Amino acid sequence: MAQSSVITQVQTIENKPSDSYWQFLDDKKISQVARVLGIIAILNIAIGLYMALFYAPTEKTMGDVQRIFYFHVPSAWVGFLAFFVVFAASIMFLWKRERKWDALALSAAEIGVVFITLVLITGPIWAKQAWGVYWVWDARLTTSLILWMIYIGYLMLRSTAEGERRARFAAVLAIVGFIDVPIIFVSVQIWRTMHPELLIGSDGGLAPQMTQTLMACLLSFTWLFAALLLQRLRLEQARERLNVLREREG
Amino acid sequence: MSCAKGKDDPMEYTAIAYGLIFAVVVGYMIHLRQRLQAVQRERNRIESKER
Repeated sequence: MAQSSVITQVQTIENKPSDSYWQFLDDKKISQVARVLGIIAILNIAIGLYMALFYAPTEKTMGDVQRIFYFHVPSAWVGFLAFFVVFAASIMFLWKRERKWDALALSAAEIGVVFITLVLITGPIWAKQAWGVYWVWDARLTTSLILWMIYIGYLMLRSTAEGERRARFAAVLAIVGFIDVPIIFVSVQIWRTMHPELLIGSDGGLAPQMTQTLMACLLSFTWLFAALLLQRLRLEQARERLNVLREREG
Repeated sequence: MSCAKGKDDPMEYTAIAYGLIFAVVVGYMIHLRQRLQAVQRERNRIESKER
């Protein structure tokens, strides 16, 4: 069996039910790719951290607390990216009924929840300094909280029910839940909100050093997301292999 | 939007936020690794039993 690419040949498993069909990936290769991506992410985060603390100028009105933004925005970006992967993989799962898409959706959902949790932690810390309160029922904050709850619900659904039905219900929830992401994006335009709008390259927008710092941090978190997603997929694949072994064992 | 004036140091808030991000990400990575190792241990146990 050729081992040259990350996606390798199908390992046919005897007596394996067709609904749990799984195209096994080469675990060693995924592990290596995830490790390389992880190292790139760590180095990039270190550069991003240096830029956020020493390179980017202090914001005039908010002061040093504005530096939270350099990791708050990338956390949100990774959260949305993860939920987009969940959305796309759920559509693919409902269409193709292949277990690998469901595994990808579940893996991305877990990472998305972790990063949106970070958004919901770092946002209020910034707000306490900037607004004087940790939380206001502002459109963007509220829609972000709803998004977090939707995908917590998704993970809870995955942990309670079993089998193909569970995966189908979860896929539908993930697709419907993703509607909240564009709502979060436009919330600062369609509702009166206290949440700052990100302005890049226009009058009154971010200074070039701030934009560069933000881009470095966005890139670093994207690497991190890719590394975590591969590791989480490895776990899902290992679980699937274990289930096959258990079925064989009886 | 102005920064609330108080005795709180804004840099302290930034440090707390960065620290929490670090703790959550590292915590999640460790948790992921532990789960993976647990599954692999169980797999090895079943495979060794089969042999």
